[in-house]
Parts: sequence; C-alpha cells; structure tokens
Amino acid sequence: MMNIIKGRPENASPDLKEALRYMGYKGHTPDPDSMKLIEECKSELLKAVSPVCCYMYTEIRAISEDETELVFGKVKSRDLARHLKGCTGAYLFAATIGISVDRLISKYSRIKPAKGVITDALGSSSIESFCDFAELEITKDITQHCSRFSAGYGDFSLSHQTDFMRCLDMNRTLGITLSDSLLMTPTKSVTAVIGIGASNRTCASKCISCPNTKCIYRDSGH
Amino acid sequence: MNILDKIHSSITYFDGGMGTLLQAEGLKPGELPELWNISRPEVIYNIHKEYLKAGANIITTNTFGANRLKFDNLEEIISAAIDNARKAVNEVCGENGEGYVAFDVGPLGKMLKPLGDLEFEDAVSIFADSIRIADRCGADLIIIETMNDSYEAKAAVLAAKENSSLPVFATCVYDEHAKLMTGADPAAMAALLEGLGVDAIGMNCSLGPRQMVGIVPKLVERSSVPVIVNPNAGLPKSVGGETVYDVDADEFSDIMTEIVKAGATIVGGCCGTTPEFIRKTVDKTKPLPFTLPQKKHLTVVSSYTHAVDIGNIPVLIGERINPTGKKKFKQALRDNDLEYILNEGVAQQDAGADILDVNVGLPEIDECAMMVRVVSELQAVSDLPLQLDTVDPVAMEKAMRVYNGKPLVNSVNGKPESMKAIFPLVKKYGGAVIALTIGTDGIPTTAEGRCEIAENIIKEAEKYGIDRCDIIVDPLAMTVSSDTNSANVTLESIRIIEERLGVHTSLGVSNISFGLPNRDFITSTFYAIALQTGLDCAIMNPFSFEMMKVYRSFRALRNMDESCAGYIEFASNVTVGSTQAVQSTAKNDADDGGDPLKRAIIKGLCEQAKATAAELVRTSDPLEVINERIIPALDKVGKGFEENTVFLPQLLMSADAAKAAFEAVREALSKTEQQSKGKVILATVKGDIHDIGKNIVKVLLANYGYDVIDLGKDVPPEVIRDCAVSQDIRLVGLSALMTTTVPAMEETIKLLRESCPNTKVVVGGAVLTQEYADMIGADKYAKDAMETVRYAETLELL
Repeated sequence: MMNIIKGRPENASPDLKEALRYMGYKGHTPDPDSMKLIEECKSELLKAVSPVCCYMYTEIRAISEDETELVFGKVKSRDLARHLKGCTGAYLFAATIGISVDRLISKYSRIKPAKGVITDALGSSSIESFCDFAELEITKDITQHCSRFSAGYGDFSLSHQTDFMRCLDMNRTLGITLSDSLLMTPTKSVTAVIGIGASNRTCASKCISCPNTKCIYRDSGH
Repeated sequence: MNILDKIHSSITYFDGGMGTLLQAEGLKPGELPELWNISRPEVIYNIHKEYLKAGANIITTNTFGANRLKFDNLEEIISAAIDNARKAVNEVCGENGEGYVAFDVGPLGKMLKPLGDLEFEDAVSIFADSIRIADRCGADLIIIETMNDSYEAKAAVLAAKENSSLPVFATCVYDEHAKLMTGADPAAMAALLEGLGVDAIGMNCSLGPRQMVGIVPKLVERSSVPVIVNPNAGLPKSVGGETVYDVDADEFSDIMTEIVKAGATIVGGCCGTTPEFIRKTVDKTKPLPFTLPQKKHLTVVSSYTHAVDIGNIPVLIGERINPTGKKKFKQALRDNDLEYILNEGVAQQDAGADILDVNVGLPEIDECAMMVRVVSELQAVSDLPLQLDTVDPVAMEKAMRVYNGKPLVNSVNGKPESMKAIFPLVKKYGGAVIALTIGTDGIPTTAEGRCEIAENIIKEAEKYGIDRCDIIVDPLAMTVSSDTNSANVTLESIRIIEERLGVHTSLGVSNISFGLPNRDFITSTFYAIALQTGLDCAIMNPFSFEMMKVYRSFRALRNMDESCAGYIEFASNVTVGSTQAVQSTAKNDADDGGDPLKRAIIKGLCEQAKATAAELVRTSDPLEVINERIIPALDKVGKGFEENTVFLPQLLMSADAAKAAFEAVREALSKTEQQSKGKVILATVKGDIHDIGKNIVKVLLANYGYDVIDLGKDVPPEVIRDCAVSQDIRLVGLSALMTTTVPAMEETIKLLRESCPNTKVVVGGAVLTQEYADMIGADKYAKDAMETVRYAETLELL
C-alpha cells in the first residue's frame, strides 16, 4: 500500500550553493545584481511549489551481482545491485514540486532568459531539498537504510520509470506523467529506490556515478 | 428512464472504489487492472453487482486506463468491461431498471504540450479510439474522471462529443485549495465543461469527503448542470506500516449528507470506498430534498486557472496583440518572432488587463497556423483568458479548439453568413461571443437600429442553443470627428441594449477619437461616460495612462474597489510628469570607461540601457553606437563568461540589456545598416522537452546580429531538415539534455547531411561531450552559448 506525504513550501527550499553550481558559478559568488535577481526568483519559486511525494514498500526478492528483483520484476543493473547490497527490502519513492514550477520556468525562458535559467536551477535544487526532507521522514524509525538511488543513475536504466509510474500510480497520486523519451513532467520530479536493511551511501551525490566526467554541472567534490 | 431524466429527477448514486477491492482479490502492484475484465471477469462482475445491491445507480466500467497507449487489444478489453457491467446491471436492476453503465475514461498519464510532449489532437484521437468502442458496445454514458488537467479534460470531452451521442459526465481532481494540479479553480472548470456541453460536472479522488465539503459550494454556485461528488475514503495514513484511509463508512456517509445538502445531486465514492460506504450513503441521503443547481446565466470566460465574470466589475481587454498600425508587430509576425508578441501579452497583464485580445491577421502570413501557435505560446506565459480575434472562421475554429479554457470570441455580427459561420463553433467549443451591431445594410445610425440588430443576433443564437448570457453586444464606437453625434448614439445604444435585452456590452473604445490630436483625452473621457452608462468591457490599451486613470478612479468611486486598494496601488506608483528615475542609478564604475551605455549593458539594466541608447542616437551615428559601445560591452561580458569571471545569469541579464539598447538604436538605422549576419536554425531535438539551453543560445546569437529561426523543442528531424532546405540555412544548432535523446540528434544530422551537405551543425546540451559530438558526426561541439557565437563568427553564413 502506498503512503503520501504533502510537504510545505519550506520543505522544498532550494539549497543556494547547489543552485549556484547548476547555474555554472563553480564556487564563485554572484555579483550583487545577479544575487538580487536570484533572491527574487527564489521567492517566486517558493510561491509556486507544491511538494508532494508517495512511497511504497517492496521486498527485495533476490539480489545478485548485477540483478535485483523488486516488486515489479527484475532490474538488470550492477550499480543498483551494489547499492542495495545487504538490503532486505526497499521503498519505491516518487516526489514532485508540481507543474506550476514548469509554468514559471517556461514563462521566463520565453521572455526573460536570465530568470528562466535561475528558476530552473533553483527548481532542481528545490526538488532535491524536498527529497532529502521526505527521505528523512520516511526513514526516521529505520536504523539501517541506504540513500536514494534513481533510475538513470549509473546503469540503472531510465526505462524503469514506467515501473515506478505503474507501481506508485504516479499519475493519479502525484500528477506525474512520462513522455515518450521517459522524461517526467512536472520536470522537477524524482523517482528512487531507498534500500532498507543496510546503510550503503555509495551514492550521496549522483555526480559520482555519472559517466560524464567533464559535465560543467559536476559536483567539484567528485 | 434514461440517465439524463434520472439525474434530473432524483439523487443519483455512483459506485465506489475498484482498485482497493481488486487488490484484496490479489491484484499485484503495477499489474494492469483492465486485464482482469478478460482474465477474471467474475471478480469484476461481482464487484459491480455488490455496488448495485448497495444502491448505486451508475456503475463505472473497469476501464480507467483503457487506451491505445497502454493496450493493443483495446476492443477486447473495453467490450469485456462493458459486458461485465451490463450483466451485473441486468441481473440486479432488470433490463429496464434504474441501473446504468458508465464507460470510465481516466487520464492518459501523459502531459499535453506545451508543458509535456503530447499533441492536443493526439490526445483527442487516443480518447476517441476508446470512446468509439464503448459507444458501439452499448455504454449508457461516458464518465471522464480523475482529470488533473483542464486541457486533458477538454480533449477527452471533445473526443466524447465528436464520437458518440451518449451523455458525458466529467469530474476533476481538486486539492485542498480547490485547485486542479494544473491550476484551474471550480469556476474555471465549470465555465470550460459547461461550454463544451457536459451534462454533469464534479470532483473525485485525492480528497476525502471532509476536505471536499468546502469545495462543493464553490462548484454548485457556478454550475447550471447537476454536480457530482465522489470522494476517497478520507486521506491515506500509515498505521503500523499499513496504509489505511482515515474515514470509515459511517463517517463517510454522515459527511455525504452535508455534501448533498450543499447541492451535490450525484454522489458516490472513489479510492478506498466499498459497497458499504455506498449503502450507508444511500440510506442517509435518499430522504434529503432533491434540489438541482439553478440556471446561473453567468457571462463568463476562462483560462486554465481562473474565470473572468463579465457584468460586475468593468473588464479590461488588452488590445495590443494586433498588427493594425504597428510596424514592429507586423515585422515580428513576418519573422515568426513570437517573443515580441509574448512580451506584449505579459506586459498587458502586468498593466492590469483581465483578458488579452489576440489578432494576428496579416495578408502575407498563414493566419490559421500563426493563430494556433500564438494562442498556445501565450497560454504558456500568461494565465489570462484570451479573446480570439479573427475574421477567418477556419482560424477561429482551430484557435477555439486548442484554447485551454472558455474563450471570448471576437466576433459575430448581424449578417446571416457571419452567424452561420460562428454560432456552430460557439455551440460546440463553448465561448462568449462579441456581437457587433452590423446588419446586412451596415451600421444603423440610431440606437434603436443597433438594438434591433442585437435582438436579431440573440434570437438567432438561441436557435443554436446559445444562451443570451454568452452574447456580449458591441454597439460600436464611431469616430466623433466625422460625426459629432456618434458618441451619443453609442452611449444610448449601450443603455437601451442592456435595459431591453438584458445582455452585457463591450466597446473598442479608442475608435471614438480617430483623427483627433491627443486622442487619449477624448478616449478616456468617453470611456468614463460609457462606464457610467453601463459598459461592461472595453477593448483598450492598458499602457495608456489616461485610460487606466479613468478605470482605477471609476472603480474606486463606484464601490468596486475594496478600501480603494487597487486605486492606491496604481496611483501611489505614479510620479506625475517625471521620467528621470531611470537616469539616476548610474554610478561610475572602473571598467566601463565612464560610458553609461556600456555600464548599463554590463550591469544588465534594461531600462537604463534603452533610455541611454535612445538618447545617444539623437546626437551620434547609430552604427557607431552599436560598434563602439554596445558590441564592446557585450564582448566584455562574453569574455568574462569565457574566463569564469562572469556567470550565466549575468551574461543573460547583459544580453537582455543589449537587446533593449539595440531596439532603441535600430529605429534610427537605414535598411542596409540593419543587415543581419545570416540565418541560423536552433532546435531541441525530438523527444527532448528541455529548451532552456537552446533559448540561451538564441538570445546571444540574436544579440550578435544573427537571425535565429527557433523551431522550438521536441522537433522531429524532418522538420529541421525541411526548414534548412527551404530557407537555405548554413548553420544549424541542435540541443539535447538527455542521453536518451542523443540518437534523435544523430538522426537529424544524418538527414541534414543528405539534403544539405554544406550546412554546418553545432551541438550542445548538458549530456554532450566532444566524444559524443564526434560520434554523431557534428561539425562542432559547443560547451556553452558563447562558444556557439564564436563558432558562428568563423563561418560565412550569408
């Protein structure tokens, strides 16, 4: 059975440092004019977010070196199997900050590109903040659990988005839709597996498992 | 008794949840419940039967997700589902009893464009496939339910109306703030769905009855058709690791009595409810008095978020999206430059417009295609209702179809051919329509004559089933300089048309002052008198200070502005007779050589850049302003970006400011001096709906003097190729954000190579690398927007 957590806007408050990294600041501090604009975008964003997530428990029926069997079937992924090593079960998890954020980004990217870029970066950080918040809520009574691991990380194929969609009934519960190329709308949405029974943290940052080592957004810590 | 008679004669009951009961029978998470119509028909049949025995009149088929996106054997699934339901009805109610089979239509699980990747017409066609089968298989009605998005709801209703004559019910998912996930409130949904001719409207899912109690009156007070309420069994909560809904059948049915008292006449349940919930609800609500919603006679239009009522507070219709008399606008249309139009839309909204008029008619362009594009793009930047303004009925129909909401239609007149073309559209798609008092013999010179035409239009509309509340009469403001009695006639027309015909009025007010100096003086005074006479809507320029002064003052004076708040906000921002504020913020900065224009661009100050540039071209050579000031300032910022001292937001702010400066200078340039550096196509490739990166490149290329043909996002390879061939393009920029869409990029490059071997291709986007670019055969990988500009500069594009 499924659980739903509705968050408040402050649960999805973007991490400025993270957002600046997405904007390409590479550790530099924005000039005061840009900072003013960023603050303005942040307050507009927080008016637009409606954070919500849902999750359900799945037992891990079998796990080998490169395959994990979850409630929806087998997942062929060495990275996921490594991440869930020692786990007995997991939560399937999906979250979004809502379609109004997409509207805001699409509006500004058409008429005020600077605000479009800033709002997009803040939105990406906002959904991550909310996921952090939700993950804490979900795992608060569980001593041994892993960090979240999303389809698209490493060799965990994005095609499993359809499994998340179905199992979590994401369209009905969260209003999330999937495009033909497996992208979610609202775009600031996340699906993930949170392993239970071990506390693997191999993937605290998703950058580490990404093959694109030259990516301009890559977390400099990795 | 057929279902429509039934809902108009007594409280009618829907069944409850299906999913929870199927799970209890062993349905696995992620398993498609629709398949059980074939594999476990007895389970489905029994559930239907239990609901009918509990007192439900309408049972919904187990077809929530039955569409061709999910199933190849659609016919088999739908016909089995309807069979299961029909058998249950026949068994429990008898063949002529009060049991009805509702074909259940749920959302497609895909987002429509422009936010998602599904074309509106594709959505209509997917729904249509299922509905045709259901119609053939003998459903009694269609229930479109759990709609999160007004646009998808519209697509489903249109599909139902176009492919079946069955009654259509529609229920949407509201959150605790009484909004749909995509933003619509009950008033907006009532306007949209009633406009489309839906027989009963309402809400289901997501909330429990307790949360819905407060939302029901919001819908009942706007609806003229019966209201449906099918709540969940409360909200889900976790008890000992198990999720349960927090309302039991007793409490549910208690609250359902409140919901019926609040005006709902069709009730049932959704997720988590069982036959017991329905039985208790029937027992408790059956004795309650049956009261249908009254006919509301509202004159209303809507967008995807809200409704605008006409007839209470004066409504401002922004007239600026119209090429008549605007050189720049015409050029923007010819260049397919929507940005100019979108900015006009947003600026009018900021200035206080309630509705935006959209007219894109120009003889040399394809008005139909442009109208559809502008409507769709405007709805991506503004949530105001639109007034669709075209004389071409084909363009009107296309626009009304894709419009997300109930539009204002501009216009119909008293000539038979006009009414014959427009009224069927209004009937089909819904809309309020502006009726011009022009008859076969032209515009009458008397108020009596204009009133007579209005009356004829209303009578004719009624023949099509269009209520007079959807007719807004425009008795036409005629130029006072050519006939000094014309304002009197118009004002008298307003008075008698409203008094005798009971309809609302609108005027394109600025016509009144044509040919006179300082037109705003006359127009705004006329506007004040017209408002006092009873004018409801004005098509006007919301940037006109004189007009807004009248509007704000009138509202404050006539008790239409609580605590005069609107007036105070407007008036306290006005400094009469001063435009100096713009100049004062400039302070000297070390790295701009003391040049205020350079400084404004570097700092990204749009207004200041524009004002300074406009001032400069009065005394200097415009080309010199561009080459000696604007370009060097841009270069400085661009160089800073490349050296990691300036970052993306600032780069874009500067680009915006440079653009504003260019605009000010361009007017002073001759044709030859305005020559572009060449045309460049930009597109985000098929399958990818991210366009931020592409938009950044567009801004910078435009700044550096290139003509950018922006094909948008999710663009098929053939479209890019065809455009490159037809426009003889030498440089194409492709963007992709996801690894999954890189193959589409490769495919596009392949097509381009075949058809236009001399065209260069530059690629970019978050996942791209030099290796990827080499692999897919691109000419250039640009890591950011500046690099694309630098690359373009190395090419001969003319």
